[in-house]
Amino acid sequence: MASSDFWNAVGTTQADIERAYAFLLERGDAAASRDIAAHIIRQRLREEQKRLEELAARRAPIYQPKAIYAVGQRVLFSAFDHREGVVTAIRPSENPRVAPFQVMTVQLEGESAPREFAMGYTAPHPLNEDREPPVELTLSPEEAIARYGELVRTNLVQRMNADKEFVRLDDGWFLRGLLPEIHEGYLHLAEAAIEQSNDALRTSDLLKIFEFPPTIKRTAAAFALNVALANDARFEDVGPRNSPRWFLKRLEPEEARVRPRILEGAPARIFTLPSELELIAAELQDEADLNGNANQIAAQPRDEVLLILTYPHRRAGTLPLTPVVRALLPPFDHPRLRFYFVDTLTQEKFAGYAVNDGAYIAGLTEWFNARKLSPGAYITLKRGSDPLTVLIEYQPQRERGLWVRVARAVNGQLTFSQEKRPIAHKADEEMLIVIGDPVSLDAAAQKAREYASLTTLLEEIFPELAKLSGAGRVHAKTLYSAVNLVRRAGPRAVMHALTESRVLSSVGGGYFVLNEVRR
Amino acid sequence: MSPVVRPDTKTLFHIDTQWFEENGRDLRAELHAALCDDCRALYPTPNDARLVDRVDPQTGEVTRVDALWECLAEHCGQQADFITPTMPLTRAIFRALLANGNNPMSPEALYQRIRKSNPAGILRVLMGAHIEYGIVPFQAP
Repeated sequence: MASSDFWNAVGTTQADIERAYAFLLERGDAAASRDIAAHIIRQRLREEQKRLEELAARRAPIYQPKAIYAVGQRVLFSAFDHREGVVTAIRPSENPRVAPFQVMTVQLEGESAPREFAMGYTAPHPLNEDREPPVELTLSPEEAIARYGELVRTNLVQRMNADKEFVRLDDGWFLRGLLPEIHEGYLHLAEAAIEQSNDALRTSDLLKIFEFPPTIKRTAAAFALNVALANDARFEDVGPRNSPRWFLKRLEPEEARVRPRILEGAPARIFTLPSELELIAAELQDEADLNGNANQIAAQPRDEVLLILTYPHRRAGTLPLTPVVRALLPPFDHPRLRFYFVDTLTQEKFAGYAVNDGAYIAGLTEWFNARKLSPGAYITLKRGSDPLTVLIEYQPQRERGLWVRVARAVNGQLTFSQEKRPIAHKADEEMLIVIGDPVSLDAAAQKAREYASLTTLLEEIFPELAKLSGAGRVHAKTLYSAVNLVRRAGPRAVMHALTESRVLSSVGGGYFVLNEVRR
Repeated sequence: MSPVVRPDTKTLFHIDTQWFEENGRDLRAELHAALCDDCRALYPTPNDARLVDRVDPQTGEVTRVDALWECLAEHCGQQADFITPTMPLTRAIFRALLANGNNPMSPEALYQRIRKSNPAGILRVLMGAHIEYGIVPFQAP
């Protein structure tokens, strides 16, 4: 058997499943699939080595059709599990279509009826090829695991998934028969404990509440409890990877469970932008450019991220979960990660939820409202000393009346005016927009859906913003902030739409004017 | 009683050799007619073909098989002109099964081999009112 054939088969057989079963039984504990695969690789290598040693000790040649054998000779048949046979008779072949060869009668061990095999048969045949060693026995177990571990793991997972004897939780595998029973009463206790603490609890915290008999291995109890909780609709694992933390779904805020509609936008495409606009877009942290893929890894992780609040997130009580923001949190694979925000100014601690589907962080409605933040507000996130803590701050300033852009909708059309409004926080001047009437903006958002293209929508909005500027020019960031009042669009999509416009022209510095003004 | 299953494009079909006897057709004549020129030169008439040695392409084991079947499966059936685009569909299907040693094939597999019509069209032909060339759904023993 070729080496590749051997390794393709490891992890696929019933014998391998039995090896996996025995491994877990002896271990008495859950194991990751890669550990089970490593164990099977080591075992199979040992067995193959032993088998080849036995074969070598037999001194019988391995059958090849091209070879010639004698009556009474012992031969090994690789296509028949390397069983040995003895040649009992030889005759000439009978087939005028092919070159003559000989036919030997062989009595294979373990069979009552003899078989016939070709010999002196020189036509192409797989068994006539020069044989490579059946298995790369020069490989150490560690080398074999490094080279074939993933292949074997994949094969094994497929088999174990189909076998009811095995129980799986994420990548932990255990034997169903070894799991202690988790009664319904334990789950009610868990529910009460989580509700009382109003916090996500680790499995070990929950186990302390139950009184398992000392004969039950703690790790087995933890696995069994995790499986029971994972299969109960009341509970959700909101912990980091490989560190379950259990919370009640009914205690999670709605916006953490269901992506707010206002955050939904058209799928993002890849655009090439002029370098000036590329720089502007790169500074703006917005998940709308990610196509909901929260799993990209930040090219340069930071300990601190400056965000500029946009209207959709302000309304939804959320923040974008871009790669640099995600890098402030531990990795997580489940739909939600529950962590704590700590306000650096007040030390107020409140729960946040990083949500995979949609790439956003929920839980900020009250925090935004209490500080009366407007779109454009600066918000800084910093890595906390605890992996599940993120420091959050805004930049307060003494409240004073400032002339700012105010947005409202009239007859479904977005309009802007310059009004004096009390502002108690610092903000990006280009993106600061105070909301005059959120209800009318919803009507304008309805109407904006009639615009097929983002470019057309921007061209409609532009004059309303330009009239507020003496020079009739509007910054790309202002347009990005404004268009997101009525349609969700990432900065790259907005910048690209601006470059597509035949009505608007760039005048440098990120500013745009209407073409007729340039004339 | 096993449930009746409606044949589909994955249903296996094969040549029922007994059908030829029951319908007064000569299977060996049909096999002989399908031989290539080289094999017909070896066996000028169907009666010239007896049992021959066949070497298993995987194990090297030798079995005794009918020479006509052996030629068709190991030689004639591998030639490019064994099944031609202008050949009637039913004959193309028959030849595809001969080339496969009468190992059962589904309409999907037959389509891959003959590249005529499509799997659904092939199924319709096979399930038509008249059985052609003894091709019937395969029933495992």
